[in-house]
Amino acid sequence: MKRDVLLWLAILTGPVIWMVSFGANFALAPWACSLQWKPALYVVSASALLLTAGSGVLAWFEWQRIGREFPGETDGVVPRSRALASGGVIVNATFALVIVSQFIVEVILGACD
Amino acid sequence: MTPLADTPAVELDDEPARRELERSWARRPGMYGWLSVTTHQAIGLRYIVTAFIFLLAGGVEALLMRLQLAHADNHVLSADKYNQIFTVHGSTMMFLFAVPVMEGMGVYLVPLMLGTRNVAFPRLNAFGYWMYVIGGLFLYWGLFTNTGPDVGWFAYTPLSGPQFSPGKRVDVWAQMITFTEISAMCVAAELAATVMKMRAPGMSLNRIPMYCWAMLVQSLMVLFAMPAIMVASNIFLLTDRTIGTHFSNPAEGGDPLLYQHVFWFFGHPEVYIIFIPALGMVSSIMDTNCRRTIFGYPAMVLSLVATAFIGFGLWVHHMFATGLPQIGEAYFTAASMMIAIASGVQIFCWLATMWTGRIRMNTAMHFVLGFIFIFVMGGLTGVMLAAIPLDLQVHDTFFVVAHFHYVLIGGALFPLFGAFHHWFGKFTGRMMDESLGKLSFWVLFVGFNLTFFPMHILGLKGMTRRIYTYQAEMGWDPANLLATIGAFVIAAGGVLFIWNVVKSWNTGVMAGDNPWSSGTFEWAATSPPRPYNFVYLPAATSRYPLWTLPKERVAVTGLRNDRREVLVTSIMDGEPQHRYVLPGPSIWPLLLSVLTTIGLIGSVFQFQWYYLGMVLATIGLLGWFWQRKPADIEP
Repeated sequence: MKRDVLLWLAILTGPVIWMVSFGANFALAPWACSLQWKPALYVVSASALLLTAGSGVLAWFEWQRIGREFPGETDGVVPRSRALASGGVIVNATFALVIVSQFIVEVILGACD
Repeated sequence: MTPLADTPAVELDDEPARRELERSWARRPGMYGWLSVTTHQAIGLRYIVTAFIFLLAGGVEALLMRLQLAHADNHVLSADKYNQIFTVHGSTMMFLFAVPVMEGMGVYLVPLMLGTRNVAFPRLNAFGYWMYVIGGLFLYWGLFTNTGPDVGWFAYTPLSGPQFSPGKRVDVWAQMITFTEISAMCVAAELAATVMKMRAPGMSLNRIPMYCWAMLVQSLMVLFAMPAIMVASNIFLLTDRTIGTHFSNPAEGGDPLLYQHVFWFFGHPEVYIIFIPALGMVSSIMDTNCRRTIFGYPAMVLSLVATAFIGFGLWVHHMFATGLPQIGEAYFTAASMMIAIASGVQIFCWLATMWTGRIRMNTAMHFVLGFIFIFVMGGLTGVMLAAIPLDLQVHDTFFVVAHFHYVLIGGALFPLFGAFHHWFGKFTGRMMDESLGKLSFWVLFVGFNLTFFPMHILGLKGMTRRIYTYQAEMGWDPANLLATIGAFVIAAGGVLFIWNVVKSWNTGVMAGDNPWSSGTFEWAATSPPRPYNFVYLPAATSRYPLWTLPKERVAVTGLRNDRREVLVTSIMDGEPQHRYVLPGPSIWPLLLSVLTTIGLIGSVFQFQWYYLGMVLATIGLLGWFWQRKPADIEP
């Protein structure tokens, strides 16, 4: 049961963290402009990136532990867990990429552009 | 894994069990029985047929608009009528056709594919259908009584507010939304519960059919997105209009942009709510007709999940012209571009499936290939529109109209038509005519591109959307005429399709249980399925259980047949947990929807009707839940 919770966390942390950071940054944007202080945005993005990467690493280790094989369609807890763990790696990598793409925006544009 | 050359019907037959099931799943006789039915096949089919009727209505409105715009200074419709027609067209297609038809397909197919007997909450299913029908009729009652909404399908404030839209037109739109969203959330709740808890034993997460994954993801999206539109239309808009709140009135501290934010927080995921089930349909058609398992199943599932999440982070790309901080807008540009990756993964997986499969080019595959061509074009203009400078140039022009028709018709209607040809044999017991089907595909494909491709050019030339006429000097006539001709070609394709449906339903070749040698459980049931689907519930031995050897197939025994009993299984591994008795037919879903309607429609004219509606709905709920006899409990 505990392992299942861990696997779900590995799958869902990346997307949820991205959504939270995305919402936070969008809300902070006018404030960053009025104070001319972009680092607040950087902090949110960097924290989100760290958490997502951490979740990806967790999923990776879980996948290693189960036996790093490509997830098939065999019945049972191990193949299903393998599917979730490897899925966690891919999902976290995808959302890390989304966070990086939005981080690039912050770096390139001025706070009030 | 590929289909077996000889895939016999796998259902074990047992005459006494079948007779008992016939009795416990029988519909009550007469009109009362028709109104109180709660089986998923009946409700699903009603959703589909009703949605297609609304599609016809929306299509007629589209033809009227195209006639009006065929040449400059035309007067087929007045400006006021044109406003009502385009609003009702958009609202019909989004709320009364696209979402309900996808949900209807899900209601019909998901329990069959999962190997169970019905959806999780059958009466809720019936209630959702009646709410949907009443909401649709209410909108059209408005149109036919000159109370048709005239502010566009997203009804932006302050245009839709009490100051600029007096009368009842906008209220009709807002309350229609309430009906259709209640309906959508009912279906979403029951489908999500069905996929999570009523799968066949052995159907672990890595064995769920792609279509059921798509419906699960879509249902969860509906549950998160639809409350936003109810807040926008019912709380912001209706209370501003009926009891004088000021959510959208800047003079009193309100903010019109708040409405836009909340609307598009629903509105953008809405596109994926329509499109994600279509992806599932495409995968089902593709594996059957390429005669191999879908390429990259895990990647496909993950891209569905990623699409669903990122879909909630795109709403501001509908609002680039509202003057929001650019850095904030640019976040949405990035997200809009990233979602193309998730869609791209799916496209490449389908290409790989075709590349490595043995393609059977039937009508359904024609529609799937048409979908890939059109959807990729729509996706590319979507990436263009994600760039703020280009978006600002073409905002609210026909370029946008072209883009979203490419995405929605290409991304949803073509797969839906393909799905209809694919599963028609299951729905009716007869096959659709293939020659007529392919002819209708080519007519629709040519008509579609003839209609909507010129709109890109019109948009780039500056023709704004929602204008009822234009002057000859603008130079927009040729492209508009071409688009109008194309619209009538689409109509001809639609007529061919309907003719095929009617002809095939009456005189088509008998389908048999599994005419395409498919691998998923719906093809193990009879065509059309019996009300209980299977005499013995099947167990999943692989991702494509009908492609395993018959001797390896397993069925569930031990369920009682004298009542509507189903098996509840675990979320992760599909392990049997307990038996569950589904409720039988009931008139209360219909009665509750009528009682709720009294409050909802009455409140459009006088707010106090809400209170009466609440009392009546409570009575309806009491009737619904009233236990008529002691529950038949067995340890």
